Amino acid sequence: MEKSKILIIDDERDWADSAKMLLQDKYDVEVVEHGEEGIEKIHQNYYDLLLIDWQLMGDKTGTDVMVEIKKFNKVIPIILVSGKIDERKPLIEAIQKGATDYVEKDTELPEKLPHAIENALDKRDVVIRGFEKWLNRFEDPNQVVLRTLSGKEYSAKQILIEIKKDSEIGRRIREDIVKVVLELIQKGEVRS
Amino acid sequence: MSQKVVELEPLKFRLKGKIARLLGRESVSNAIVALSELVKNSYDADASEITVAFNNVKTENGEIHINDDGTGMSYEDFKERWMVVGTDYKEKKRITPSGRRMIGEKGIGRFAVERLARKVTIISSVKGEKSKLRVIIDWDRYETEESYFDMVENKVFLEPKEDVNHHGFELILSGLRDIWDEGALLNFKRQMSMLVPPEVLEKKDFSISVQTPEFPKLSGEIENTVFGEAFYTLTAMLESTGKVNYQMVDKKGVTTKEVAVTERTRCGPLKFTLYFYPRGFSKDERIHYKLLTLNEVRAILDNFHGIRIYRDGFRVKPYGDPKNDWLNLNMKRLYAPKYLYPDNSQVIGIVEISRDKNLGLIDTTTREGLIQNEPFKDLVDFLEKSIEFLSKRRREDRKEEQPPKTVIRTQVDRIITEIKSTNLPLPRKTRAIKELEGVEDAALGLIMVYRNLASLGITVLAVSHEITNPMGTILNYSEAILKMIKTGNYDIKQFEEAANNIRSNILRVSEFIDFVVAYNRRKRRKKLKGDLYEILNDVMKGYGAIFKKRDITVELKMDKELKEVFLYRGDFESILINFITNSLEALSFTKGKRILRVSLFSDKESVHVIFSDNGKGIPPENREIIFEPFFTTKEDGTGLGLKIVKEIVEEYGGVVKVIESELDSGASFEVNIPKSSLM
Repeated sequence: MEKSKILIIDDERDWADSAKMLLQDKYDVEVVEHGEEGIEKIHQNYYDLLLIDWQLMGDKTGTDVMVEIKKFNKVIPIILVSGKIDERKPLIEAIQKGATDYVEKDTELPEKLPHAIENALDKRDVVIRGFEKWLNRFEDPNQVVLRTLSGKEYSAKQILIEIKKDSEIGRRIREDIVKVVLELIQKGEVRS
Repeated sequence: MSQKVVELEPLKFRLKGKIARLLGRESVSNAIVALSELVKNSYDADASEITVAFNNVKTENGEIHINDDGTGMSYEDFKERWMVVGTDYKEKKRITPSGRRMIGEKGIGRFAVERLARKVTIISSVKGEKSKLRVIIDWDRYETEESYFDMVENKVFLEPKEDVNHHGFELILSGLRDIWDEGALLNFKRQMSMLVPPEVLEKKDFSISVQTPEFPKLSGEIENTVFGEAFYTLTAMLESTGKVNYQMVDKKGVTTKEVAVTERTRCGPLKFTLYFYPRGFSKDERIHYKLLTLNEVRAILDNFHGIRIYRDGFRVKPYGDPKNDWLNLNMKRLYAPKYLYPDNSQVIGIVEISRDKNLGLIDTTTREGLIQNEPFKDLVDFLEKSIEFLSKRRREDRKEEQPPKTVIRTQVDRIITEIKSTNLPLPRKTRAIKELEGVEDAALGLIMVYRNLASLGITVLAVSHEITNPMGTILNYSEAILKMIKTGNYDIKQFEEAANNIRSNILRVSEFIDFVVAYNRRKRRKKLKGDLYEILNDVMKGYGAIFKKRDITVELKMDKELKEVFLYRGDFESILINFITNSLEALSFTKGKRILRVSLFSDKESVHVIFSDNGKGIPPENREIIFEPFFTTKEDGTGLGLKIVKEIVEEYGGVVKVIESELDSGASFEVNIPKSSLM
């Protein structure tokens, strides 16, 4: 099974690097320091999860970056990471705006962060999780399983990426899958 | 074998003539002091006009003539007093017949003469005598090997005089030992100006004129400029209708006028002018005289303080004589210090009355002052009200200059007032009050400690990320290493990377932590000899890693001569810490180059610290309010930082304010602390 891909957006470079080392045994971790750079990366590549520093300095706060990402990718789980704070209200607001979770950078972080990541990945869209399981059954995940009318070909793995990127095609496939699954449930061929 | 005891001629000390040199040139420090002493002797002889003429004093053949209209000396006076070394008549009798307080040094005059010249001729004339005396002293004759001090004979002549009533003393000093240049003459005039009463009335008690053909500019009557130096000049005019016009000119030259009405007009119309001078360092009135030094003003006040009455230009004695505090000013001031009544020695007051208009003010039969009748009581009432007018203004000004009293002070004052109103015996009251004053001191000491610690708390909050983030980083690396060891899945290079990063992160916080620890260990209750330059450097070093992390360029401009100041180190550190904390926040909004600039320099009077950053700046409407407690624009600000700065600065008698930004944008603060409070 491939490692999940995580992008850390945190201007505290030292900390981000240390978190990368902490998580590297289970995850494929990349680090960027600025919000814009992170958004650019998410457009280009796909990630299973984002760790965003809530107190990003500069033009955009962590919440701003999150909101912007949510505009073009509604499915990607985002964990906000914050320094120690007294007032949790703004963080709770951030969760209402779409963050999956938040973790404080305290002494328990090395323990809490891997759990938070696992939980966030588990909480993901049922379709993605189902798709991931399904993909694991393929002997060759790169085998083409879909050809569009315009002639574009997708392997199961590529379909999963498109869904995770929440792209146009990914969204349409997901809708179709949901439709098919609902039909199957109605016919009693699949239990919900 | 026995010998008889024989008594020989007894042994006596004898003085060689050269002793004159010892008493003169070697004991009177300089020529100006010596000449001043001679003028003072004229003053002590009740002279009203003195002329000092300098002739050819730029050359070796110079002469100085001192001429006065004092009482003069008789042959007996010369023989029994002037010529006897060690006479102490001045010591016993420090007030002259006309009521002057004597100002000359005891018995110095005659040797001042030796100090100034090789030869002196004294012409002395006593009122009522038909002839005058001429005494000639040639000090060179005391210098010869064989001369004994009491063997040298000085010639005396009795000469006829034109006017029997003439009196006075004339000294002709020739063979001057010094060259008198412009500087020396100016210095002499300055010394003398303190003896002369300030000019205000037509009739003066005393004047000194200088005649010097070589320096025409310096010739003329010596003036006392002390009236121009008054902190407050009050003119109060009482009209016969009962209308009172007050006019007050303060030290800045600002004039204010006020009109009042009184029913107590039986004394008749009169004018009262009151000049007020602080005499020394007080916390709230910074003493800056314009032309004179504080010591000179003090010397003048010693001679001329008090409230005098002049009737048609003539002094009415004893009002305003030395130590004649007829309005009980000293008592009032002592009894009610918070009303800021002037002390008798802090004022020169002039009451102008006339024989025609103030008919109710009558001399006593002994001519010792005025009869204490109803008109006199009205006069006293008018003067007291005028003095209260001045005191009120002083209180208002002080209120403006001073921050409001501390809560503790207010309470202490309240209790002191209550103690004063009890029937306890005076010593017990005094003791109780003294102890209460101690309470305030102790409380202020505590406040100081809290304030310093609060500054630290505020800054730690502001830089908490710089402390906690490295901790988190270190923890992550150590967890990662443990995990790698547990799983056995590692690369030695990663260990190296982790260890290096752990070290660099520890170094990042240690500088600040070291600074914090040192700051907390400081002995707070002791004023230390400090070096502002060093303290500033230490504080900046403590924040070094934080500045670096936040990309802040620090510029220090320092005057390296600010070494010998005495202060509570924690106070100066608190000021710096709070400014730094503010700037760190303000600079977080700056995109380009972040600059923090501290300039530390001094001038004659004050130490200045200018603290600037190119952060988000302070909107003009907030420039005053930012010093108020709990005012903050920061999300997690306490609103105490600048309040603490203000409190500390004001405790040192200084000022802190927002000034025009020194950099293109951002905020600049300036702190000025008078040097006198750093000593």
